[in-house]
Parts: sequence; C-alpha cells; structure tokens
Amino acid sequence: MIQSFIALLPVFIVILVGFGLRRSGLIAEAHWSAVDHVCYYVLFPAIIFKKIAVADFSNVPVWSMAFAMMLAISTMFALLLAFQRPLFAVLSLNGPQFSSLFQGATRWHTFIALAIIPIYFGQSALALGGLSAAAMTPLLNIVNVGVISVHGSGAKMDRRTIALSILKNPFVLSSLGGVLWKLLHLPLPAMGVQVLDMIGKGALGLALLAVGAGLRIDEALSTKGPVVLATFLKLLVMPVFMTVWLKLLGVSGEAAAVTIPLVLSFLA
Amino acid sequence: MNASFETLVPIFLLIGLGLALRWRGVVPEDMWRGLELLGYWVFFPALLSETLIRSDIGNLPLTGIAVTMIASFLTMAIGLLLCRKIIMNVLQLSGPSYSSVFQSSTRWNGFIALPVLAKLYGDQGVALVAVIIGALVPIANIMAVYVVAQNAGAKKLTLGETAYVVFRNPFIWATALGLFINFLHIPIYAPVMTSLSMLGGAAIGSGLLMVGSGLNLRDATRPSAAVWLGTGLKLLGTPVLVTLWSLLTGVNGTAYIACMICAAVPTAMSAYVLARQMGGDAPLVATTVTVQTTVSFFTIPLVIVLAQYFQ
Repeated sequence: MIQSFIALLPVFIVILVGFGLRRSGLIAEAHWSAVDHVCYYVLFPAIIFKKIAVADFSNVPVWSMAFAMMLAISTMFALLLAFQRPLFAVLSLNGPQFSSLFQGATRWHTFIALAIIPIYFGQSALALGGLSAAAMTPLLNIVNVGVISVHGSGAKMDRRTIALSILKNPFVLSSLGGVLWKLLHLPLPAMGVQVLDMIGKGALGLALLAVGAGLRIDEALSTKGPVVLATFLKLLVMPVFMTVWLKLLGVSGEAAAVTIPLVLSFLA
Repeated sequence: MNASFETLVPIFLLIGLGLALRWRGVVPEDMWRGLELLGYWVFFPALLSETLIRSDIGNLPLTGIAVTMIASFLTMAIGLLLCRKIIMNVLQLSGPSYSSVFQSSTRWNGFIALPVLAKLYGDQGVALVAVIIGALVPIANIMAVYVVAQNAGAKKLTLGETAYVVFRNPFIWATALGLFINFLHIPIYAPVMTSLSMLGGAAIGSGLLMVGSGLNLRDATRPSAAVWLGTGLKLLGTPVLVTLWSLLTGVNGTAYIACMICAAVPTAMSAYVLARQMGGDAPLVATTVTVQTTVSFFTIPLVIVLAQYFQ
C-alpha cells in the first residue's frame, strides 16, 4: 500500500509543480491551453499509435477487456439515469448541475491514466491504455453529449457534430491507426520508432503539468453535495463496477489491472 | 559517416515535424510560446540537474572542457570584434546587422546539441552538455548583451541589468545545483528524482518541435552574404577553434567529441529574442537560424566523423 503510494508520489509532485507554475504566473494562463493542445493532438496520439503498432496482444483478451469497460460505464449511466428523480430532489439540482454530476461520475482523465500506467505496469502497458481509450471514448462522448443536450442550457448538438467529434478524437484516431497498422503487418521503420519515442517521452511530464495548471483549488474548497457524490461515484464505485464486469467476463492479470488506474483517474 | 548521419535523422525529422505543425496550423503560432516557456523554465533545467545529480562526472576533465569552450568562444568573439570595421564595410552592414552576425557566430543551441549527445553517449552525453552549458552560458550571454547594446543602441543596459540577465538564466541555476548536489553527495528523495526525470523527459521532444516551429523557410530562400558568414563561422569555424584549443588543453576522447558537437550546432534561439528586445537585426538572426539548421543537418555528421578521427 505504502509502496504503491510512493510510486505515485512523483505524479502528484509534477501536478503540483504545474499548479504552482500557473499560480506564480511564470507561465501565463493563455499559454497553458497550448500545452493541453500539444499533448492532446501531438504527444499522446504519437505514443498511443506507436505502443499499439509494436504491441503484442496475443495474450491479452482485448475484446473482453473492451467489453467489460463499456459495460461498467453503462452500469454507471444506468444507475445515474434510474435515480435521476431522487437525485434532483435530494440534492436540489437543476438540469445543468445534473449533467455536470453525470460527466463527473462517468468520464475519465486520459492524461493522468496514461501517466500512471507505465509506473505500475511498464511502458508496454500503454498500448492497453490506448485501446481502453478507444473502447470507451465513443460511448462516453455520445451518452454525455446526449445528457448535456437534454439537461444543459447551451446549444444542442446535432448527430453529425457528435459523430464528427468522435471521429476526430485524437485518441480514437491514433488507436485505430495503430490497430490498422498492426493488422496490415506494415513495417515500422527504426527511424520512425525513434521519432515517436522522442515525442512520446515528453508526453508524461507535459500532460501532468497541464493537469496541475488546470486545478482550481478555491472553487474546490467550496465543495457541495454534487461534487462529493460525483467524486465518490467516480473514484470508488466505478472501480467496483469495473472489477465485477472484468471478473464476469474472465479478464485477469495485467489487462485487468491496467483498467483500475484508468477508472480511478478523475474527471476529464 | 552513415552511423552519425542516422543519429541525426530522427532529430531533424522532429524539427521538421515542429515546422509542419506550425505551418499547417495544427498547433497555431502563438501557442508555441507556452511550450517554449516550459522548456526554458522547467523541462531543460530539470533534465540538466537530474542528469548531473545522477551521473558519475568525477572522471570527466571538467576544467579542460570549460577552458577549451571558453577559449574557443573568446577567440571567435574577439576576432569578430577586431574585424568589425572590415566586416561592416565589405558586407555593407549596419550596426544592428553586425550584432546579429556576432550572435549567429558565437552562440549555440543546447536544444539540438543535447539530443545528439544523448543519443551518442546516453547519460554521460547529457552530463557533458550540462557542463558545457555551465561554462559557456554566463560569458556568452554577457558578450551577446554587450555587443548588441553597443551596436544596436536602442537600449543600453547597465552593468547591473546585464548581471541580472545572466543571473535569472535557469540553465545556470540547474547546472550549479546539479553539480553542487553531485559533489557533496547530498541524498535526494527517490520520488523527487522521478519527478525531475518525468519533467526532464519532455525536454528533448518538445525542445526539437520548438526549434522547428521557429524556422521560417520563406525568408531563407535567398540568404545574404551576412547569413552565409554567420553560418560558416558557426558551423565550421567554431569546430576548428575547438580542435585547436583542445590540442593545448589536452581534452580528448568523448569529452572532445562533446565539445565538437556543441560547437557544430546552430546558434541559440534566444539570440532572436535578444535581437528583438534590444534593437538588433532580428530578421537576420531568424534567417541565419533557418539556414544554419538546414546546413547543419549535413555539417554536424561531418564534424562528428572528423572529430572521431582526430580524437
């Protein structure tokens, strides 16, 4: 327990450095969006594509794993939607607040998950992280956008926009690209691997700094019921759902373990 | 030749990717500033100090390396100052343009030297770059600020301000801190070292993308004579000076090759910032950086091969 906490300590130190850098104003607010942008569109896609293209999945129950993840988030969807009325009443929520609670309880932070996975399971496990992102992102995006357009106050999104946003999601694109590359048995030149490695190495530190820079402590201190509930559902209930479904589908070992940090990582 | 060329291909592919990302607008121009600031204030200092703390640098000829690099730098700088009138007359340069030629010929880009040495010699290569940075950055910064102030004259800096420019350079702090901890064998808590190495891991990739994003191919299609002078002196002149001085200081082997690589890389991106801030000829620096970076793809392998032959 203490061992695995110490292993995680650097992740939180780097997040704190990011937080401190933004607070100190050394790196201005506007510049942080650039860092997010680079991680999201360049660094992580590069790392995910490379890990999947060179990964050996022969011992990994990829389909069951993906299926278990989708079932786990679907269970959470169902739970929240089923108890929608009592939630509105007890926490005296309005529509937009419910949609935020819904997002907070179901979505996950790819940056943090991908930073934690190699610490516990080595670099090669990142391929599983990439596949998980590809498996969960479409479902999460569709359902969350649906819930926001029912309960939210902003403009409604049409189906085309939703479909396009999933197709253009860099995590989905790079995972599918990696899988395709693998299925076609295309060669990955050594030079290409080196370039992708150099890019990918930077992803971790950069992403965690960006996470830290995005934290809003003052707002978190005035925590209210919905925030506590979303945190509880996301960080404790979701891992339980995930474990149950993995057991039911017979996924074990590394593939199962990788999903735990995935579900633990908080709201995107 | 082939092997050292192959070392450079991924590095230049990454620079090319940075250029393409900015050019295609995937990462818009103003967004690079955030990455640049993080690289300068966080990633590079983290990498330098982490490597220096961890590496075995006791067996490196630290004094020899420092003397070789500082002497080569001073030879180039004093030579350019002595020939100032001639250069300005022959090439018909203004004061600001002369200061840009000076900066292009004397400064160097650690963002490029570091990945090359990291690939060739691993941690020891990174430690060598850190040592060279520690030796050169103070004097190179002071001279650059002085020469730009004298020749551009938009804004004169006082001695105190010049000292402050050097004082607030994070590379110097990171190197000094790393060396201090290493020499005194101060133990550092393992998770803190892992945090440093996570941050340092981002230095090379983001640094090279950043170098690429700063290139401007359009301006570099018709380089002037001043651009070629800066390019020739930097990419070929500096390695010759380093070789001559290393014969006197007796630096050889890996340390000599490290000095040669730091001598053979293009000028620093910060030369452009300084020129813009203090009224130097900033477009001339930008063009020279682009030409130097392109040409160095061929001259760096050449210098490495010759250095391996001479070592």
